[in-house]
Amino acid sequence: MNYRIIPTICPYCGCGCGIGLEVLDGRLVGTLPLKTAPVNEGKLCIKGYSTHEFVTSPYRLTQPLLRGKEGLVETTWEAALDHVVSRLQEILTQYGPDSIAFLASAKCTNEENYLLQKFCRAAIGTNNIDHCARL
Amino acid sequence: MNSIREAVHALFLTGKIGGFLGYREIGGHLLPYLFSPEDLHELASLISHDPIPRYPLPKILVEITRAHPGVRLGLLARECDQRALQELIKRNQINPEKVLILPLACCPSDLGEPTQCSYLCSPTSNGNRPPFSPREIGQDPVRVEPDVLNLEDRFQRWKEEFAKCIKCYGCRNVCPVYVCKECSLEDEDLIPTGQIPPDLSFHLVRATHLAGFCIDCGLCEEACPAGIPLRLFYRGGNQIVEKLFGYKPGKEGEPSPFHRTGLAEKGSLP
Repeated sequence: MNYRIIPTICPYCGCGCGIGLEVLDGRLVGTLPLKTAPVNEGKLCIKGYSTHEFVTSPYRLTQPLLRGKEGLVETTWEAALDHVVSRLQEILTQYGPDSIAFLASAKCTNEENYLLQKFCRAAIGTNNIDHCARL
Repeated sequence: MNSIREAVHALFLTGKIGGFLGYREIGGHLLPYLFSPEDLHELASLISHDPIPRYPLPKILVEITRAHPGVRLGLLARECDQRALQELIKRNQINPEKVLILPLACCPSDLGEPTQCSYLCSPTSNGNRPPFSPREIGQDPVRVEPDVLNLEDRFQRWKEEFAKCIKCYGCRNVCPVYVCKECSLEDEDLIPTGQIPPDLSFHLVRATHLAGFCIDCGLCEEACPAGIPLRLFYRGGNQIVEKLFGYKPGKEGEPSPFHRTGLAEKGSLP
Protein backbone atom coordinates (compact mmCIF):
# COMPACT_ATOMS: atom_id res chain seq x y z
CA MET A 1 0.00 0.00 0.00
CA ASN A 2 1.56 3.19 -1.19
CA TYR A 3 0.26 6.70 -1.93
CA ARG A 4 2.33 9.73 -2.71
CA ILE A 5 2.18 12.91 -4.76
CA ILE A 6 5.07 13.68 -7.05
CA PRO A 7 5.52 17.41 -7.66
CA THR A 8 6.39 18.33 -11.21
CA ILE A 9 5.63 20.88 -13.91
CA CYS A 10 2.65 20.66 -16.24
CA PRO A 11 3.81 19.27 -19.60
CA TYR A 12 1.54 21.45 -21.73
CA CYS A 13 1.96 25.17 -22.38
CA GLY A 14 4.85 27.47 -21.51
CA CYS A 15 3.27 28.84 -18.28
CA GLY A 16 4.88 26.06 -16.26
CA CYS A 17 2.18 25.45 -13.65
CA GLY A 18 3.13 23.25 -10.71
CA ILE A 19 1.22 19.98 -10.64
CA GLY A 20 1.24 17.01 -8.30
CA LEU A 21 0.90 13.57 -9.84
CA GLU A 22 -0.98 11.20 -7.53
CA VAL A 23 0.60 7.75 -7.45
CA LEU A 24 -1.34 4.92 -5.80
CA ASP A 25 0.43 1.54 -5.58
CA GLY A 26 2.78 2.56 -8.39
CA ARG A 27 -0.04 3.61 -10.73
CA LEU A 28 -0.65 7.18 -11.84
CA VAL A 29 -4.23 7.91 -10.77
CA GLY A 30 -4.70 11.68 -10.68
CA THR A 31 -3.42 15.23 -10.98
CA LEU A 32 -3.77 18.02 -8.42
CA PRO A 33 -2.60 21.63 -8.72
CA LEU A 34 0.24 22.47 -6.33
CA LYS A 35 -0.89 25.02 -3.76
CA THR A 36 2.71 26.03 -3.14
CA ALA A 37 3.70 26.52 -6.78
CA PRO A 38 4.32 30.24 -7.31
CA VAL A 39 3.06 30.20 -10.92
CA ASN A 40 -0.43 28.80 -10.41
CA GLU A 41 -0.98 28.84 -6.61
CA GLY A 42 -3.34 25.85 -6.54
CA LYS A 43 -5.11 26.51 -9.82
CA LEU A 44 -4.99 24.67 -13.14
CA CYS A 45 -6.71 24.53 -16.51
CA ILE A 46 -8.51 21.49 -17.87
CA LYS A 47 -5.43 20.30 -19.78
CA GLY A 48 -3.28 20.34 -16.67
CA TYR A 49 -5.94 18.46 -14.68
CA SER A 50 -5.95 15.73 -17.36
CA THR A 51 -2.18 15.21 -17.37
CA HIS A 52 -2.34 11.72 -15.86
CA GLU A 53 -4.80 10.51 -18.49
CA PHE A 54 -2.48 10.44 -21.50
CA VAL A 55 0.39 8.65 -19.80
CA THR A 56 -1.27 5.24 -19.84
CA SER A 57 -3.60 5.93 -22.78
CA PRO A 58 -3.84 3.03 -25.27
CA TYR A 59 -3.90 5.66 -28.04
CA ARG A 60 -0.45 6.87 -27.13
CA LEU A 61 2.22 6.33 -29.84
CA THR A 62 4.81 3.78 -28.84
CA GLN A 63 6.84 3.71 -32.06
CA PRO A 64 7.80 6.23 -34.75
CA LEU A 65 5.43 6.35 -37.73
CA LEU A 66 6.71 6.84 -41.28
CA ARG A 67 4.32 8.17 -43.91
CA GLY A 68 4.63 6.17 -47.10
CA LYS A 69 2.41 5.40 -50.04
CA GLU A 70 0.26 3.17 -47.84
CA GLY A 71 -0.17 5.81 -45.13
CA LEU A 72 1.49 5.77 -41.71
CA VAL A 73 3.54 2.67 -40.97
CA GLU A 74 5.25 1.79 -37.69
CA THR A 75 9.01 1.76 -37.94
CA THR A 76 12.15 1.82 -35.80
CA TRP A 77 13.89 4.97 -34.50
CA GLU A 78 16.92 4.07 -36.66
CA ALA A 79 14.88 3.94 -39.85
CA ALA A 80 12.85 7.05 -38.95
CA LEU A 81 15.93 9.16 -38.18
CA ASP A 82 17.71 7.91 -41.34
CA HIS A 83 14.70 9.07 -43.32
CA VAL A 84 14.65 12.50 -41.63
CA VAL A 85 18.38 13.03 -42.25
CA SER A 86 18.29 12.03 -45.92
CA ARG A 87 15.20 14.14 -46.69
CA LEU A 88 16.57 17.20 -44.84
CA GLN A 89 19.80 16.91 -46.84
CA GLU A 90 17.92 16.56 -50.13
CA ILE A 91 15.69 19.60 -49.42
CA LEU A 92 18.65 21.68 -48.17
CA THR A 93 20.70 20.95 -51.31
CA GLN A 94 17.83 21.49 -53.70
CA TYR A 95 15.98 24.51 -52.20
CA GLY A 96 18.36 26.09 -49.63
CA PRO A 97 18.19 26.52 -45.81
CA ASP A 98 15.17 28.87 -45.72
CA SER A 99 13.01 26.11 -47.21
CA ILE A 100 13.18 24.33 -43.83
CA ALA A 101 11.51 25.35 -40.55
CA PHE A 102 11.53 23.92 -37.03
CA LEU A 103 8.87 23.93 -34.35
CA ALA A 104 10.11 23.41 -30.79
CA SER A 105 7.93 22.15 -27.98
CA ALA A 106 6.85 23.14 -24.47
CA LYS A 107 7.10 19.47 -23.53
CA CYS A 108 10.90 19.59 -23.97
CA THR A 109 13.43 21.01 -21.56
CA ASN A 110 15.08 24.41 -22.06
CA GLU A 111 18.25 22.57 -23.02
CA GLU A 112 16.53 20.51 -25.71
CA ASN A 113 14.89 23.62 -27.13
CA TYR A 114 18.26 25.38 -27.10
CA LEU A 115 19.80 22.47 -29.00
CA LEU A 116 17.06 22.57 -31.62
CA GLN A 117 17.50 26.29 -32.32
CA LYS A 118 21.29 25.76 -32.44
CA PHE A 119 20.80 22.93 -34.93
CA CYS A 120 18.39 25.11 -36.91
CA ARG A 121 20.68 28.16 -37.07
CA ALA A 122 24.18 26.62 -37.05
CA ALA A 123 23.69 23.29 -38.84
CA ILE A 124 20.87 24.10 -41.27
CA GLY A 125 21.48 27.86 -41.55
CA THR A 126 18.01 29.40 -41.16
CA ASN A 127 16.20 31.46 -38.54
CA ASN A 128 12.94 29.60 -39.22
CA ILE A 129 12.30 28.40 -35.69
CA ASP A 130 9.25 28.85 -33.50
CA HIS A 131 7.68 27.25 -30.44
CA CYS A 132 4.31 25.67 -29.75
CA ALA A 133 3.94 27.63 -26.51
CA ARG A 134 3.74 31.00 -28.27
CA LEU A 135 0.57 31.84 -26.37
CA MET B 1 9.08 14.52 18.39
CA ASN B 2 5.71 16.21 18.60
CA SER B 3 2.52 14.70 19.92
CA ILE B 4 0.94 13.76 16.57
CA ARG B 5 4.10 11.96 15.44
CA GLU B 6 4.23 10.15 18.78
CA ALA B 7 0.57 9.22 18.49
CA VAL B 8 0.98 7.86 14.96
CA HIS B 9 4.10 5.97 16.01
CA ALA B 10 2.19 4.35 18.87
CA LEU B 11 -0.77 3.50 16.60
CA PHE B 12 1.59 1.81 14.15
CA LEU B 13 3.36 -0.17 16.88
CA THR B 14 0.08 -1.40 18.39
CA GLY B 15 -1.22 -2.27 14.93
CA LYS B 16 -4.29 -0.05 15.31
CA ILE B 17 -3.77 1.50 11.88
CA GLY B 18 -2.11 0.16 8.74
CA GLY B 19 -1.30 3.57 7.27
CA PHE B 20 -1.49 7.25 8.09
CA LEU B 21 -2.50 9.94 5.64
CA GLY B 22 -0.82 13.20 6.52
CA TYR B 23 1.54 15.73 5.02
CA ARG B 24 5.27 15.78 4.36
CA GLU B 25 7.67 17.85 2.33
CA ILE B 26 8.45 16.48 -1.10
CA GLY B 27 10.66 18.46 -3.47
CA GLY B 28 10.08 21.69 -1.58
CA HIS B 29 6.29 21.32 -1.46
CA LEU B 30 4.14 20.26 1.49
CA LEU B 31 2.04 17.44 0.06
CA PRO B 32 -0.32 14.68 1.21
CA TYR B 33 1.57 11.46 1.93
CA LEU B 34 0.61 7.99 3.14
CA PHE B 35 2.92 6.95 5.97
CA SER B 36 3.36 3.23 6.44
CA PRO B 37 4.27 1.13 9.51
CA GLU B 38 7.00 -0.53 7.39
CA ASP B 39 8.82 2.81 7.14
CA LEU B 40 8.61 4.10 10.70
CA HIS B 41 11.65 6.32 10.19
CA GLU B 42 9.66 8.40 7.68
CA LEU B 43 7.44 9.63 10.50
CA ALA B 44 10.16 12.14 11.35
CA SER B 45 9.10 14.02 8.22
CA LEU B 46 5.41 14.11 9.15
CA ILE B 47 4.26 17.73 9.27
CA SER B 48 1.51 18.24 11.79
CA HIS B 49 1.50 21.93 12.50
CA ASP B 50 0.21 24.80 10.48
CA PRO B 51 0.62 26.43 8.10
CA ILE B 52 -0.03 23.44 5.85
CA PRO B 53 -1.59 24.02 2.44
CA ARG B 54 -4.98 22.35 2.27
CA TYR B 55 -5.51 19.39 -0.08
CA PRO B 56 -8.67 17.24 -0.21
CA LEU B 57 -7.44 14.50 2.15
CA PRO B 58 -10.87 12.81 2.61
CA LYS B 59 -11.16 12.31 -1.14
CA ILE B 60 -7.64 10.83 -1.23
CA LEU B 61 -8.62 8.58 1.69
CA VAL B 62 -11.56 7.24 -0.35
CA GLU B 63 -9.23 6.56 -3.30
CA ILE B 64 -6.87 4.57 -1.07
CA THR B 65 -9.60 2.63 0.77
CA ARG B 66 -11.24 1.63 -2.51
CA ALA B 67 -7.98 -0.10 -3.43
CA HIS B 68 -7.39 -1.42 0.11
CA PRO B 69 -10.81 -1.86 1.78
CA GLY B 70 -9.47 -4.03 4.61
CA VAL B 71 -6.90 -1.58 5.95
CA ARG B 72 -7.67 0.86 8.75
CA LEU B 73 -6.16 4.26 8.05
CA GLY B 74 -5.33 7.18 10.26
CA LEU B 75 -6.07 10.65 8.96
CA LEU B 76 -4.70 14.04 9.91
CA ALA B 77 -7.96 15.96 9.81
CA ARG B 78 -8.81 19.61 10.06
CA GLU B 79 -12.33 20.61 11.00
CA CYS B 80 -13.34 20.78 7.32
CA ASP B 81 -11.80 17.33 6.71
CA GLN B 82 -13.81 15.97 9.62
CA ARG B 83 -17.03 17.42 8.20
CA ALA B 84 -16.24 15.87 4.82
CA LEU B 85 -15.59 12.49 6.47
CA GLN B 86 -18.98 12.61 8.20
CA GLU B 87 -20.79 13.24 4.91
CA LEU B 88 -18.83 10.48 3.15
CA ILE B 89 -19.62 8.08 5.99
CA LYS B 90 -23.34 8.91 5.71
CA ARG B 91 -23.17 8.11 2.00
CA ASN B 92 -21.40 4.81 2.58
CA GLN B 93 -18.24 5.95 0.80
CA ILE B 94 -16.12 5.45 3.93
CA ASN B 95 -16.42 2.73 6.54
CA PRO B 96 -16.19 4.58 9.91
CA GLU B 97 -14.49 1.55 11.47
CA LYS B 98 -11.67 1.84 8.97
CA VAL B 99 -10.77 5.46 9.79
CA LEU B 100 -9.11 6.94 12.82
CA ILE B 101 -9.00 10.71 13.05
CA LEU B 102 -6.10 12.67 14.49
CA PRO B 103 -7.46 16.19 14.63
CA LEU B 104 -5.35 19.09 13.45
CA ALA B 105 -6.24 22.18 15.40
CA CYS B 106 -6.67 24.79 12.73
CA CYS B 107 -8.45 27.40 14.75
CA PRO B 108 -6.32 30.54 14.70
CA SER B 109 -5.30 31.76 18.11
CA ASP B 110 -2.63 33.76 19.84
CA LEU B 111 -0.93 30.46 20.65
CA GLY B 112 -0.36 29.38 17.08
CA GLU B 113 0.21 30.54 13.56
CA PRO B 114 -2.97 31.01 11.52
CA THR B 115 -3.69 28.37 8.91
CA GLN B 116 -3.87 28.80 5.19
CA CYS B 117 -7.62 28.21 5.28
CA SER B 118 -9.23 30.89 3.20
CA TYR B 119 -12.09 31.20 5.56
CA LEU B 120 -11.06 31.29 9.15
CA CYS B 121 -11.64 34.48 11.02
CA SER B 122 -10.23 35.38 14.40
CA PRO B 123 -12.27 34.19 17.36
CA THR B 124 -14.29 36.82 19.16
CA SER B 125 -13.61 37.81 22.75
CA ASN B 126 -15.75 34.96 24.10
CA GLY B 127 -13.67 32.44 22.13
CA ASN B 128 -16.29 31.63 19.52
CA ARG B 129 -15.76 32.19 15.85
CA PRO B 130 -18.04 34.73 14.21
CA PRO B 131 -20.40 33.38 11.54
CA PHE B 132 -18.87 33.00 8.10
CA SER B 133 -19.21 35.87 5.71
CA PRO B 134 -18.49 35.92 1.98
CA ARG B 135 -14.86 36.32 1.08
CA GLU B 136 -13.78 38.83 -1.45
CA ILE B 137 -11.87 37.65 -4.51
CA GLY B 138 -11.25 40.53 -6.85
CA GLN B 139 -14.92 41.42 -6.69
CA ASP B 140 -16.93 43.63 -4.46
CA PRO B 141 -18.56 41.05 -2.16
CA VAL B 142 -21.47 43.39 -1.51
CA ARG B 143 -22.49 42.96 -5.10
CA VAL B 144 -22.92 39.22 -4.65
CA GLU B 145 -24.42 39.34 -1.19
CA PRO B 146 -27.76 37.59 -1.72
CA ASP B 147 -29.80 39.94 0.42
CA VAL B 148 -28.63 43.09 -1.26
CA LEU B 149 -30.07 42.51 -4.70
CA ASN B 150 -33.53 41.63 -5.87
CA LEU B 151 -34.03 38.24 -7.50
CA GLU B 152 -33.61 39.40 -11.07
CA ASP B 153 -30.48 41.45 -10.41
CA ARG B 154 -29.02 38.65 -8.34
CA PHE B 155 -29.51 36.16 -11.16
CA GLN B 156 -27.86 38.62 -13.56
CA ARG B 157 -25.00 39.03 -11.10
CA TRP B 158 -24.43 35.28 -10.88
CA LYS B 159 -24.58 34.96 -14.67
CA GLU B 160 -21.76 37.52 -14.82
CA GLU B 161 -19.77 35.39 -12.39
CA PHE B 162 -20.35 32.18 -14.38
CA ALA B 163 -19.41 33.91 -17.63
CA LYS B 164 -15.84 33.88 -16.26
CA CYS B 165 -15.81 30.07 -15.99
CA ILE B 166 -13.16 28.31 -18.13
CA LYS B 167 -14.64 24.86 -17.40
CA CYS B 168 -11.45 23.52 -15.85
CA TYR B 169 -13.46 21.21 -13.55
CA GLY B 170 -11.18 22.35 -10.72
CA CYS B 171 -14.15 23.00 -8.38
CA ARG B 172 -15.17 19.37 -8.79
CA ASN B 173 -11.66 17.90 -8.87
CA VAL B 174 -10.60 19.35 -5.53
CA CYS B 175 -13.96 18.86 -3.79
CA PRO B 176 -13.36 16.56 -0.79
CA VAL B 177 -16.87 15.10 -0.93
CA TYR B 178 -16.82 14.51 -4.69
CA VAL B 179 -15.97 10.82 -4.99
CA CYS B 180 -18.46 9.74 -7.73
CA LYS B 181 -17.34 7.09 -10.19
CA GLU B 182 -19.37 8.72 -12.94
CA CYS B 183 -20.02 12.45 -13.13
CA SER B 184 -23.07 14.23 -14.47
CA LEU B 185 -20.83 17.15 -15.37
CA GLU B 186 -19.34 14.96 -18.09
CA ASP B 187 -22.75 13.89 -19.40
CA GLU B 188 -23.19 15.43 -22.84
CA ASP B 189 -26.98 15.27 -22.53
CA LEU B 190 -26.95 17.39 -19.38
CA ILE B 191 -24.09 19.76 -20.14
CA PRO B 192 -23.61 20.79 -23.77
CA THR B 193 -19.97 20.32 -24.80
CA GLY B 194 -17.69 22.51 -26.88
CA GLN B 195 -18.47 25.91 -25.37
CA ILE B 196 -16.65 28.23 -23.00
CA PRO B 197 -18.04 29.49 -20.70
CA PRO B 198 -20.10 26.35 -20.20
CA ASP B 199 -23.87 26.35 -20.17
CA LEU B 200 -25.36 27.51 -16.85
CA SER B 201 -26.43 23.89 -16.33
CA PHE B 202 -22.79 23.11 -15.43
CA HIS B 203 -23.01 25.20 -12.27
CA LEU B 204 -26.62 24.35 -11.53
CA VAL B 205 -25.96 20.58 -11.66
CA ARG B 206 -23.07 20.99 -9.26
CA ALA B 207 -25.08 23.26 -6.96
CA THR B 208 -27.96 20.78 -6.89
CA HIS B 209 -25.67 17.86 -6.06
CA LEU B 210 -23.95 19.83 -3.32
CA ALA B 211 -27.09 21.14 -1.62
CA GLY B 212 -27.10 19.57 1.84
CA PHE B 213 -23.79 17.87 1.03
CA CYS B 214 -21.26 20.72 0.69
CA ILE B 215 -19.18 20.96 3.85
CA ASP B 216 -18.20 24.57 3.18
CA CYS B 217 -14.44 24.05 3.11
CA GLY B 218 -13.87 26.55 0.31
CA LEU B 219 -11.34 24.43 -1.60
CA CYS B 220 -13.40 24.97 -4.79
CA GLU B 221 -13.17 28.72 -4.46
CA GLU B 222 -9.42 28.49 -3.79
CA ALA B 223 -8.99 26.35 -6.92
CA CYS B 224 -11.10 28.51 -9.23
CA PRO B 225 -8.80 30.28 -11.71
CA ALA B 226 -11.64 32.67 -12.58
CA GLY B 227 -12.29 33.77 -9.00
CA ILE B 228 -15.96 32.79 -8.96
CA PRO B 229 -17.32 33.00 -5.36
CA LEU B 230 -18.30 29.33 -5.41
CA ARG B 231 -18.41 28.98 -1.66
CA LEU B 232 -21.11 31.59 -1.43
CA PHE B 233 -22.97 29.90 -4.28
CA TYR B 234 -23.01 26.42 -2.73
CA ARG B 235 -23.84 27.86 0.65
CA GLY B 236 -27.10 29.02 -0.94
CA GLY B 237 -28.02 25.37 -1.59
CA ASN B 238 -27.15 24.44 1.97
CA GLN B 239 -29.37 27.24 3.27
CA ILE B 240 -32.33 25.89 1.29
CA VAL B 241 -31.78 22.38 2.66
CA GLU B 242 -31.43 23.73 6.19
CA LYS B 243 -34.67 25.68 5.81
CA LEU B 244 -36.60 22.70 4.40
CA PHE B 245 -35.13 19.83 6.42
CA GLY B 246 -33.33 21.50 9.32
CA TYR B 247 -30.15 19.75 8.22
CA LYS B 248 -26.59 21.10 8.25
CA PRO B 249 -23.94 18.92 6.57
CA GLY B 250 -20.88 17.69 8.43
CA LYS B 251 -22.26 16.73 11.84
CA GLU B 252 -21.58 13.30 13.23
CA GLY B 253 -24.53 10.94 13.57
CA GLU B 254 -27.20 13.33 12.35
CA PRO B 255 -28.78 11.60 9.34
CA SER B 256 -28.87 13.50 6.06
CA PRO B 257 -32.35 14.00 4.53
CA PHE B 258 -30.90 12.45 1.39
CA HIS B 259 -29.67 9.48 3.38
CA ARG B 260 -33.25 8.24 3.89
CA THR B 261 -33.88 7.98 0.16
CA GLY B 262 -31.89 4.77 0.10
CA LEU B 263 -29.27 6.16 -2.25
CA ALA B 264 -26.62 5.73 0.39
CA GLU B 265 -27.57 2.10 1.00
CA LYS B 266 -26.90 1.33 -2.64
CA GLY B 267 -23.50 2.95 -2.30
CA SER B 268 -24.19 5.40 -5.11
CA LEU B 269 -24.24 9.15 -5.10
CA PRO B 270 -26.92 11.22 -6.79
